[in-house]
Amino acid sequence: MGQAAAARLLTQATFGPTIDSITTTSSQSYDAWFIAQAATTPSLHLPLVPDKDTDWTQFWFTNAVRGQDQLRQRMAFALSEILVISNANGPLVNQNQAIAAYYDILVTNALGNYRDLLEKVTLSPAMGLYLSMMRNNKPDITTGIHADENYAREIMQLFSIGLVKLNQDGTVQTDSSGRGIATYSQADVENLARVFTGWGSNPVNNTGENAWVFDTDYINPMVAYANHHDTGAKTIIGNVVVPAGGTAAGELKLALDTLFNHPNVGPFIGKQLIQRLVTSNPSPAYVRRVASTFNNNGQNVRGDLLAVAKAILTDPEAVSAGGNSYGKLREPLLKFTQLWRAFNGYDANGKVAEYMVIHNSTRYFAQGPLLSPSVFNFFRPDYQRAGALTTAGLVVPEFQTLNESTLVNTSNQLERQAYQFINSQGHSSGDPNFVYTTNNINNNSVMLHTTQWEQYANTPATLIDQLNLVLMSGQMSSAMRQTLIDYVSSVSATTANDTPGSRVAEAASLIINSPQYSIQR
Amino acid sequence: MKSSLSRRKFIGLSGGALASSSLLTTLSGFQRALAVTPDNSDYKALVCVFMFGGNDGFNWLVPNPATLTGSDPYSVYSRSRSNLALARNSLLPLNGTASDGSAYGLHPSCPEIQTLFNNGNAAFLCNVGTLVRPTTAAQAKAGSVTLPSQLFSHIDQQTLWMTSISNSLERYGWAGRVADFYDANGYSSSLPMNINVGDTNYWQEGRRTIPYGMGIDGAPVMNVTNNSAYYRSGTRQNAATALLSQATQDSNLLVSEYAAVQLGAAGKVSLVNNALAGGDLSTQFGSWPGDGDLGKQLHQVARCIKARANFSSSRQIFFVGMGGFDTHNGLLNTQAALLGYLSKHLKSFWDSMSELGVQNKVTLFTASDFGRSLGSNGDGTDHAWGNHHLIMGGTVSGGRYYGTMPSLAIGGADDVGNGRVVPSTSTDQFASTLCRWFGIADSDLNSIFPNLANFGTRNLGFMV
Repeated sequence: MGQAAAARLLTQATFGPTIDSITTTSSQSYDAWFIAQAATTPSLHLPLVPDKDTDWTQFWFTNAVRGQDQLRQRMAFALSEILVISNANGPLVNQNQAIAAYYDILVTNALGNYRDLLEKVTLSPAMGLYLSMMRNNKPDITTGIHADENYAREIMQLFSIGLVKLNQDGTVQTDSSGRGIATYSQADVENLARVFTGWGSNPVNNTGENAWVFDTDYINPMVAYANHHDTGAKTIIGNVVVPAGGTAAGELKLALDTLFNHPNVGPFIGKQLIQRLVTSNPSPAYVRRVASTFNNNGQNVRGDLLAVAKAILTDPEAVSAGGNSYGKLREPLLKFTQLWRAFNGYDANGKVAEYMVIHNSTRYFAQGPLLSPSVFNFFRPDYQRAGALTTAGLVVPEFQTLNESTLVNTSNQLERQAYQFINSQGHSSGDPNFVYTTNNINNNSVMLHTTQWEQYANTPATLIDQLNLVLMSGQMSSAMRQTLIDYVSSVSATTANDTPGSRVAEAASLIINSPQYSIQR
Repeated sequence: MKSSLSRRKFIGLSGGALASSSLLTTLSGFQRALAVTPDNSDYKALVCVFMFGGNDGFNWLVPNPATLTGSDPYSVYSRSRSNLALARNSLLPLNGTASDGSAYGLHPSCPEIQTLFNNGNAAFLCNVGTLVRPTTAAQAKAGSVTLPSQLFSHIDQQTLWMTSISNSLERYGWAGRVADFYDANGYSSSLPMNINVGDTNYWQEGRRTIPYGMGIDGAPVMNVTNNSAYYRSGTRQNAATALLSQATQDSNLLVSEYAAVQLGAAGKVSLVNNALAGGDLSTQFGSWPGDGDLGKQLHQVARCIKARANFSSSRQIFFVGMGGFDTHNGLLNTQAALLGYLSKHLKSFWDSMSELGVQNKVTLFTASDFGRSLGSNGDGTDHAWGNHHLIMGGTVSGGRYYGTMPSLAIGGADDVGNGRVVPSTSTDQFASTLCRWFGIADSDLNSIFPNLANFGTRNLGFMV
């Protein structure tokens, strides 16, 4: 597919291109690349987390940056911003194994079928705790206690069909007064809440009723407790009748089948995946093509996520840049992963466990893996920015967390990370002053390794062109290119403090902190 | 999700007044008011504390009648709330009675708010929520009046609380529209009127004006363009600044927007940090894990208010937030913790305003996604509609209840279904009463709150 196309695909479909991955991919066809990615062994997280108190995010960064299953990991991350759980607050705080087990469901099923994923997510204890379906009890008429509506509402609003009926191109179906037509009613929520009763923890130390009350298995799927399931008849979305006398498992299957087969799922989930991977404002035709693949992968299979990923990433609107409203703001986490992948970043233990990033992520960058402030993710898919972007009719989800404070904090930390490198002479830099020193460096400092890049550094234009390819898919403007060439030329490459590695770090820092780079387009 | 066509259509139908120039011709009195108070003696600030997730107001403010006789409101409450009812003897007594003639008590985790209320520095607005026009439970059930869009959905109801235009997809919030109004009338200051110390929010976004995002540590300096302490700093800064300059001219709208935010941040760093360097307050703000940094956010608000003269701001509007209120489960423990933090932080904020001598110039109010269902789901409550909210400040006519207390009976007069209570007061009335105090004339309120004209009472009276 050629180098620029490969860099573009790898920017959208992975945690960032590298010199090597561009070389490999450029000689492949799209088909071959997707086949190879799908066949790569999944990098899992739970096996790396020894106990509930060990911060799992270090393994998230390590797998994101160093895992070979890049498409799978990137899709899992995109799905984690749709099928949201969080340990930022609520019942999952400090439950690192629960979080890792949940993320592994996303990893394992990221290129599988959405119906399977929806069921595994629904029955995962992390989701059961986060949206309180675990121990959701049948209603008690004598005390007036009703079924918990939390999961019933959010699985419809966020995980499957959304609030309003969609055309297959993602546009909203409206009534005669121009208002969107609701997909479900409050009664549908209440009835689905009753369907989702009777699921408790997999027994740990107890059996039967005591297990329902006391046990919490944070890793294995929830199990049905027949005594706690509402066996009355219900009518759920689409006037689907759930007859009286059913089991928790049977009714859950019927409900998930009903939601999964709703015509909204393809455009609703498909459009959000396009937004996470490619562009904030896909054309209706692009959404329709992706929804069509969701509906039928060509072999009469609905919900094939590998086919959906391929449809998204090989679409004409993904393969070539669009006009002035094209693209998306790069998420802070993805800037870090791209920097570390491009320059082979890892710490003394081979991990990517940078303290300054992991422990300040939500405070400084308003983002962290599975650390959303609520089930509505860090940003909403229809977020609009007041001013020119709204005037142009654009949504810009990732801008929701961008303000004067988060922009600068993200930039400063990226700059620090760019200057934390080891060059081919084995000199370590721990600060932007380039006096080779181990100040600020410890065993968890993620060090860039500039050796592979130094071959370009003697000729500034060559270095900038290579950086342009890897970091910006070759889209750098000529003015930007010249500014960078002039600056790099002013940096000596032949003194004790100024080496070819210095030129690499300097240029990388300037690019990765530029507005031009910050929009993936 | 929304095409540009539908936005244009909306503006044409109901938002046009905000953008029309005819607005500007009606404001001569207002302009005079601005002209005669250049010295900030007329300073006023609004502070919104947003309780993300939907605070259960019906367990914040609980009927606490002097005597329990017959079907008294506490026993109605207790029956509806079932296993989630707070014990009557745990409630913190509040002065006075609400519209139903009953005394009320406060959640036991809020002794500081109890003191503020009983001292007359805080008031409650009862059963307020998103409405298009006055709506009874019967009308809501019959669908015979236009209802707010997407009731019971977190994100949509948050948005409608922030825009207070409940029948539209408007995304400009009422604080943004207030700043637009001032901007259109010649108001200027060196820092935007709207300052966001919490999350980015629609409440503060205007058509003409954008909020400033303030970190809880102040304004960070952008190293790549502004830190002169680095080796080769001059040439490196020049290169980064050249890239930024090119980006502001980039034809891609997202690139130029990003560059605008970066440029705006750089332009405000010295202003903000010099202003905040003028010494901290002596009032201490606590900090607890799980409090969402609310104390740190309010502390930063207090510092900005202290520095108001440096910003040449005679009007400021602040947004802070705290999450975790979506108590479908663990209501009793979770809400006790969160309201406990809120209560302590509000006292600190009140104390800090007293320290600065501006308690009569600053009004704080709470907001939230929605109220919660009266009925229990076993361990928590579900999404509903009407809710109680607090207003705090020296010019609040405090120690009193405003609005109409609803029936707390499931199946009662105000229940639209399964214990979801229809609001008796609209966000438009709530916000307009605040804006009237802030300095906007009654005749100008309809242009900012297009649905206000649907409601009879335009001034709820909770501001002196």
